[in-house]
Amino acid sequence: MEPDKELVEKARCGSVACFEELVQRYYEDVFRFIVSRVGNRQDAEDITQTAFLNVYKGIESFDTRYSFKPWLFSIAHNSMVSYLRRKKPNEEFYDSCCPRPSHEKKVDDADHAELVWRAARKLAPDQYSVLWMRYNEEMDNRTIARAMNKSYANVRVLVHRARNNLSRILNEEK
Amino acid sequence: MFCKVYRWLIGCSVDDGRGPGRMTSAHMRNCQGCRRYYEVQFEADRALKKGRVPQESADPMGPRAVMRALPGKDAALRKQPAHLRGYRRWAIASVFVIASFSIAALIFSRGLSPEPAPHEITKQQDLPEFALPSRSKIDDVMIRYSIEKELENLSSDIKSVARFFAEHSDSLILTEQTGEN
Repeated sequence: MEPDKELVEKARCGSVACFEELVQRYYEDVFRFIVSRVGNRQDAEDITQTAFLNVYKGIESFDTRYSFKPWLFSIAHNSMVSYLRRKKPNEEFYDSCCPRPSHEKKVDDADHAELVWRAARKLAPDQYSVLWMRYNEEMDNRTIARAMNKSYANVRVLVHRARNNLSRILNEEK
Repeated sequence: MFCKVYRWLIGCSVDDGRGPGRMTSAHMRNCQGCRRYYEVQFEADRALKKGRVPQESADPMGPRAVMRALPGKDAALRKQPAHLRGYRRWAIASVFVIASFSIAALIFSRGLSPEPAPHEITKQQDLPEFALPSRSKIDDVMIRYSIEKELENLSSDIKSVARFFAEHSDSLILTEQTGEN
């Protein structure tokens, strides 16, 4: 498999096939990130596609010294934030496609994940994106800082606050 | 008092996946707020680590939709590679620099050429007004030219007087001795 850096270089020089390869490689990751926050599959598809179009438009400005994935996630985050500003997330739709696990029955791991990330959706978009990049994409704080265009210390503060708020939300839901 | 600092340290220790340090632990024994903060951070971290992503799969046609929607796919993906685009920029810049140097050299060479004589200036009357030297410059040249002519005339007069004295010196001395005018 060709590394991201080479694909990006070729896409910058005009290779549509290489850009398509990048889309194929990361579409699923970006979609999961967005759908988990937005809660609506159709909107998530739209936002994901918008994010990739923005990547295409801005690929010339991408600094190839850095990793591609954090940059892609920063664009996805920005696309998601502009969507959330326009529209409130559709809670009903999300509930219909992913039913809320009940607290009465025994909560298994999948349900637990569902609970945690559902609660995380109530966080501010910045805090949510930071948690996602850290716990799902397993990026380190420096990479997240570069992706979010924030300082290293600022990212740490965001992570601490996000964990604190998440814990509070989980306790409120119990 | 130092709770802010300790809470920052607690958060960092949870980030790094290690237990609180010796001083933080000592502080937590006496501070219930910080102990609670540690529990919250630790629980949330554990929940997030355990609670990996709900597996939502994307529409398999999604990537194709992106490729179809690319703006001006043929035109936007430039025919010229990126590294050549840099050369073109340099070529334009160098042409611009050469042109500006040539113009500057032309202007300076005009400025350093000897000033024309008044009759040359008058010959240039056919030129458009912007191409003619300024009025004060013409006056200056005219004055200097007339002074030079005057001096030339004066020197020729002095020379003729001297010649006259040289030729008639004997008769003049004789006239002085006899007291004739």
